[in-house]
This record gives sequence, C-alpha cells and structure tokens, in this order.
Amino acid sequence: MEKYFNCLKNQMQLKEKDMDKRTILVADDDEEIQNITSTFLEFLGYTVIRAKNGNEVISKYREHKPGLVFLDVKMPKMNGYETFFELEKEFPDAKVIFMTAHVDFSKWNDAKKKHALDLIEKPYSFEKLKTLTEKYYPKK
Amino acid sequence: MLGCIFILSKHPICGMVEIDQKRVQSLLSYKYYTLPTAQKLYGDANSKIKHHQNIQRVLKILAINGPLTTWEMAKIKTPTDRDKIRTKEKEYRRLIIGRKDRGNSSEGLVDLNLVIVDSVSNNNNPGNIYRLSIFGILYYFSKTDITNKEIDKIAENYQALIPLVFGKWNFLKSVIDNDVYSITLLGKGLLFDNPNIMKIQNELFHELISFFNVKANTLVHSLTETKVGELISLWFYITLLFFPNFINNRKKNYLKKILQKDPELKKWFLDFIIEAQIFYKNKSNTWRSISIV
Repeated sequence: MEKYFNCLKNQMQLKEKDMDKRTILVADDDEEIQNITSTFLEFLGYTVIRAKNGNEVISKYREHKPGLVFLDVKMPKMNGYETFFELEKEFPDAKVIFMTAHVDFSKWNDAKKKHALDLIEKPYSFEKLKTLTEKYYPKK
Repeated sequence: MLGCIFILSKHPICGMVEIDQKRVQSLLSYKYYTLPTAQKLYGDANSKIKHHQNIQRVLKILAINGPLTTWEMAKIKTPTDRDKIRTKEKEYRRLIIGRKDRGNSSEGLVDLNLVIVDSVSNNNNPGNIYRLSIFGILYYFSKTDITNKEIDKIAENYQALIPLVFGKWNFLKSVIDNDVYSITLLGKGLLFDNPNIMKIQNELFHELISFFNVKANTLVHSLTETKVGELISLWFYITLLFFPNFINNRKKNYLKKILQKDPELKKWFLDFIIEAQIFYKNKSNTWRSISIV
C-alpha cells in the first residue's frame, strides 16, 4: 500500500515538474533563425519546441501546449497568419507573437483582433526577444 | 569525408591530451556542416533510435573520462567480465571507426572528425587511444541535456585543447560563477556571424565579435586545433561583454575583473584588442582615401 502511495506521489511530482517547465514554440522555415532563436530562449531558461511549417505548429501545439509561440509570417504550406487563425479556432487562448522580414502587415489587424500579442520585424535583437518573452511569458 | 586528418604518435604521459597540429576545419564549417550533419546522423540526447543512443554513450564516455582505448571504454561498465568487455569493445570500435563490411556501411565518429586518435597505448592491451576532437567537444556542448558537472569534467580532461578557458576553469568559476557555462552556446552554433539573423545592440561587443569573425575567416586555411582553441577562447571572453549582464540585468564588467586578476590573459586579450584597433583604423583610412568628388 505504501509503495502504491509513493508511486502516486512520484507521478504527481513529475506532473508538477512538467507544469513548471516554461515551454515556447518557435516556428520558422529558416533553420538558422529557428536555431539561434531557440538556443537563445533555451539559454534564458525556457524549454523550446521547434516547428518548420504551419501543420507542425498545430500538431506540436496540441502535444505540448506551449505558453508562448513565436510564429514566422512567411512559411511554406500555410503562412503564419493562416496558421494562427487555424490554431485560434482550437486554442483561443494561444499566445502568439509574429515575426516577419517582409513587413507583411496584410492580416495583422485581423490577427490582433483575435488577440495576437505582437509583431516583430527581422532581424530582431536578443534584447527585443528577451523583453517580449519576459513581458508575455514571465518566469515565476 | 573529413577524417584522416589526425596524427598518430606515441603518447608521452598516458591520460594527457595530445594536440593535433594537422589542419582542421573552421568554426564556420563546424556551424554549417559538422553540427547539422552530426545532428542528422547521430540525433541528440532525446533520440529514441538505438544507433543514436549508442553514439551519444560513446561521446559521453570520452567526455567524462578523457582519452581512452576502446578496451578501457568497454571496461567502465563491467570491469571484470571479459566476455562482456570483448562484446562492448567491438561495439565501441565499430561506432568510432565506422563499418564497411557485408554490404553494411556506416560512418564512424572519426569520419566526421568528432573523435580522433590521440595516441597509441603502450599498455598490455595496445591500441589507439581515442579522444574527443575540439569539434567533438563543441558537438557535445550542443546536447540539450548536458549538465554543469559534465562540462566541468570536460574542462578538466581537455585543458590542453583550450588552455585559456579550460586551463583556468576554477579561477573563472570563482569570478563569474555559472556564467562560465555560456561556452556551450558556441557548440550550438551561436557564432554571431550573421547580422541578417540577429541585431546586436551592444556596440563594443558588436565591433569585437565582428572583428573576431573576420579574423576567424582569414585564418581558415591554416587552422590547427591549437588555433581553433584560441579562437574559442576569444569568443568566450568577448561574449563575456554580452551574456552575463544581459541575462541577469546586471551592469558588471566581468571581463575587466578577470583580466585584472590574470596578467597572462590580460596580455593575450590586449593583443587582440590592438589587432582590432589596427583593423578598424585601416578600414577608416580606406574610406578616407576614396575620393568620389
């Protein structure tokens, strides 16, 4: 009986530990940007999940439920805005920050109405990335 | 194939790293070729593929224990069972040197230059002593689950490769504490070589890291492990101008503090600063000499 309770306690502790993990999803089809952004966020103490296209964003969001998403606007298959609107249907509370190198504001106002958090232009600085992350997904 | 660039020589004192003075690839080549290729071939710490897990185990053994023969590697887990040692030894040898038999072909860790022959063992069981190459160390740093304890061990075992950082590890830890571990970011490819990806706001850091990349590129045809080790040291000390204060919102000049306490480092780093000053001065002279009007 004691063994059973210990096992249950361990499982609950593991779940709590999992919930403590601050997870961010970084979606960009450019591997170098994805790698540098992820490395940097990991260094800040976050767990980072990576995605290369819109479909991956949705499936990885379902799996990991990250607290914040950095989403590139220009991606293959489904662009960032399309991905966001698709994601928003299933997860209306998803916190998304768009990244763009092409100053693509076409759907930004619509996304903003659906509670998208921000839009940053590439190349962005580490300082900007840190400020935004701490603003929208502060550490406990 | 990047293998076959190691040297074979007798080891003077067993257990010490012997530096490879043959030509090696650059840090840029590590970032754009070695790292992505290794990640593709060998996965990372979370990989479920058995081959990836075995490779990661070999790297871990060499990282934590320093240079070893495959026999010594095999003895770590089961020191007395000779049959098990023999089986393991064969497995480790195959993972390190690769396999080309009975239609099977797989690249070993030496083919990607992550592990190299350090020397030949003079013990009862003679054989090649293998160790992580300088790029093997960087690749090991790219692991997501690497612990500070493992990094301390690597610094201890591979001091000879990066003497200006690993050789001063305890001193550095006494001054900057856990910020020493930012060296792992280089293993992940954070060279700051591409301003189109990330903007750098700290001006002094920007100038120095830009010159560092210029210097690293000009040395590309004459790089040895010693020179790469020096470049890694430069990267480490330059980034001290950026990371610690940036991450912790502090305004402390750790670099100054370190240089004040270590005259050898101070001289070496000031030489680099002078080189940078000459470089930027020559650049501005070039601009002045261009007469458009």
